[in-house]
Amino acid sequence: MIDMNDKILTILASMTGENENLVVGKGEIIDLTDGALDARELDKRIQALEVNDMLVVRYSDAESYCVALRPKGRVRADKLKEAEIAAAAAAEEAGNKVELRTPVPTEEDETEKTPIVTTGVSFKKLALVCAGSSFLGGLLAAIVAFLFGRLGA
Amino acid sequence: MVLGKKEKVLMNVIYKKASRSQNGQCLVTPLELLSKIPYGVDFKESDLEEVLNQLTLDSYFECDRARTSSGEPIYCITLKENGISYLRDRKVSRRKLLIRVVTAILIAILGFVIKAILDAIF
Repeated sequence: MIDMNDKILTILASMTGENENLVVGKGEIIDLTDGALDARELDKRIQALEVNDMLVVRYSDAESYCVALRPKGRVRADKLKEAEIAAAAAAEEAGNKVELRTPVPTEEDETEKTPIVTTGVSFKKLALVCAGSSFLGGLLAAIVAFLFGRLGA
Repeated sequence: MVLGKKEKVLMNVIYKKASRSQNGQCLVTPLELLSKIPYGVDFKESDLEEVLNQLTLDSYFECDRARTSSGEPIYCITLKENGISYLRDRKVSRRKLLIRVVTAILIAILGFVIKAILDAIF
């Protein structure tokens, strides 16, 4: 879970370039944090970031700030961004693995899984059974006839 | 410190804007600065950066170039010692000039009176 100070830092880093001062409205930052802060809380967070040498506040009033990111802040923001990308990639990979383990059945899969129920007679099987049984019957009759012939003789 | 006409005009605009805040700071766009300069003064857009630099060098204020989130250029100006005392310095220099003029007039009158007295005697 990303810290709110870090979130503010990444927001500011995404808005400003290298060695550049940025004038940004407090409302704009609050909106980008999904309204998780009020102006007073934001002031405290910005002050904390300034104390930690992450950024320098060149100007501030009730509505806006003029800030510049310090090298330390820039490095921190870059690291956070990299970590965020890595986490997103890992999450995506984990999602794929889960998908492989438990695939969501599609319509095609459903049809493949369903056993084909044949309601009609297989003529091929029937012909083979008939041929086999007639051969065996004939063989049996020939044996019986042979035995009767020998006994009779 | 003696300022040129363009410097004086720009300093007046910046001082009016910055002195409103408690810490002598203001955010001002180049367009806003240019729009507040009287039409009578020959002040071109290209002069702005140069005059700002001169006033910065004279320690009237600190000027940070910034941009808004929409990419618009903006100056972040913080008055320094010379800038904070600009109005007072201007009043003092005006008073000094007035005293000099009055002194010159008085000396001229005195000289004229002495000449008249001398003419009357001799």
